[in-house]
Amino acid sequence: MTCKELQQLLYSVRIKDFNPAEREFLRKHLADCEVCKAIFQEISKADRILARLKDATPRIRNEHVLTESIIAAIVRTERPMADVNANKFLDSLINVFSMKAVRFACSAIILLCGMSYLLMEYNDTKSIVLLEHKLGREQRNLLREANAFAGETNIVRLVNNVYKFAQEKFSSEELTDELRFMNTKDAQILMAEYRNLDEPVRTRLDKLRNNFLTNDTAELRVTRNAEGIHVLRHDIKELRKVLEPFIRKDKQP
Amino acid sequence: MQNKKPAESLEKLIEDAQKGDVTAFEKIVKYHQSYAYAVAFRFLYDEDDAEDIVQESFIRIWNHLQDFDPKMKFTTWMYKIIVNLCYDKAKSNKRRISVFARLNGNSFKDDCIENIDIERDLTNKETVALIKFIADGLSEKQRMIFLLRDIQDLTVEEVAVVTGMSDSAIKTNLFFARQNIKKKLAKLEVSI
Repeated sequence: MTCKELQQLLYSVRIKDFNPAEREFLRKHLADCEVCKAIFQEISKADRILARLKDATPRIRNEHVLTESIIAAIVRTERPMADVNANKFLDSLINVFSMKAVRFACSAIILLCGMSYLLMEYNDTKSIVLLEHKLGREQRNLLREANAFAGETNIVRLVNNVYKFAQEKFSSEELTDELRFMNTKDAQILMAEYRNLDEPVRTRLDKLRNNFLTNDTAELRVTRNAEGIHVLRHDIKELRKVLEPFIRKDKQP
Repeated sequence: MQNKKPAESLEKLIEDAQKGDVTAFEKIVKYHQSYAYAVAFRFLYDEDDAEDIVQESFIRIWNHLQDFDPKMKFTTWMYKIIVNLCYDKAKSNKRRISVFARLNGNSFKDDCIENIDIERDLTNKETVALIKFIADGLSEKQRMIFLLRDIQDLTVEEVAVVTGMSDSAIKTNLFFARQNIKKKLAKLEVSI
């Protein structure tokens, strides 16, 4: 350390803050260097003046009066006290969330919840889309079948009415006997109606009759259980009864 | 300056004062007001101004006691409020004095410090004269940093919190202030 560096150090750093090595250097250097010694004495004097200044604490003229005036002023001041507990609660929350482990756990929970929610949403959406497809397909099928059947409904109803009329007049045994059935006036009307049907309609009616005979498609149709199918189911049952004689006839070799 | 320390801990007093206990706050004021006054007086050199600053500071402390961070030292927080108020006061004083000086056609003359006897306790007047003497040529910031670090004995870290400056800026300013002050004091002819 040069004299200049030492002098700079003496001016800028308090001697009590010197480290042991600096103190040792200072002690040895001052023994040899008169210029630095003179500066050191001046600086020591400055340090003593500063020490006196530090000790010379300015005194309040009347501490009691000052305290009273402060307290009087704050008593006049209205401070919102309701926030104290809220602030403490918030502070404690902030303290809890400032812990790394808590922050990590919360992030993990939020991430997990988010992923579960997205997964559930995906599954729900998938199920809904599949159901909509299925329902749409079934609705389209039902509509198609209902439309196809509509043309035949009038005939079925007619047959049904005639059958009911005939039922009132003849016993069930008589009904099973086609010949006797055919001999009645109403049966003749029925058969006349049947024969007078257009060929395509009669074909469809026959086909329908055959289906009932095998007892498959009609049941399947009923089990779909759409709102409008109840009517069809009723008609089909009635039709089955009406067509029973014909069915029996078909079964005969 | 050492006032009688209250029987309760400072933390307890602050907690009570936060709940609105004026008596607890009065104890805080009694214990700390002389420290607050010392900083304000040494910076502003005026007893009335210093008392005003002390009063204003404690009113502010009372009003913002809910915001006090217990991790911070209470005195550091208090000094921070005082320092800000001192800067404001010094600014307004500067305007007032310059107007007054213009009206009178001369500037204020520093008190003579040659007759100060360093060996006995300094009066407020002598302290003012001495501080004025050493503060000459320093900026307000340098003066405040020197005051807090070397006279009030705050650590560099505390001075950084109080003034809002970085540690390195404080060290630089302190270096300049000490050099300037010591050179002036070294040349001063006073009886020691």
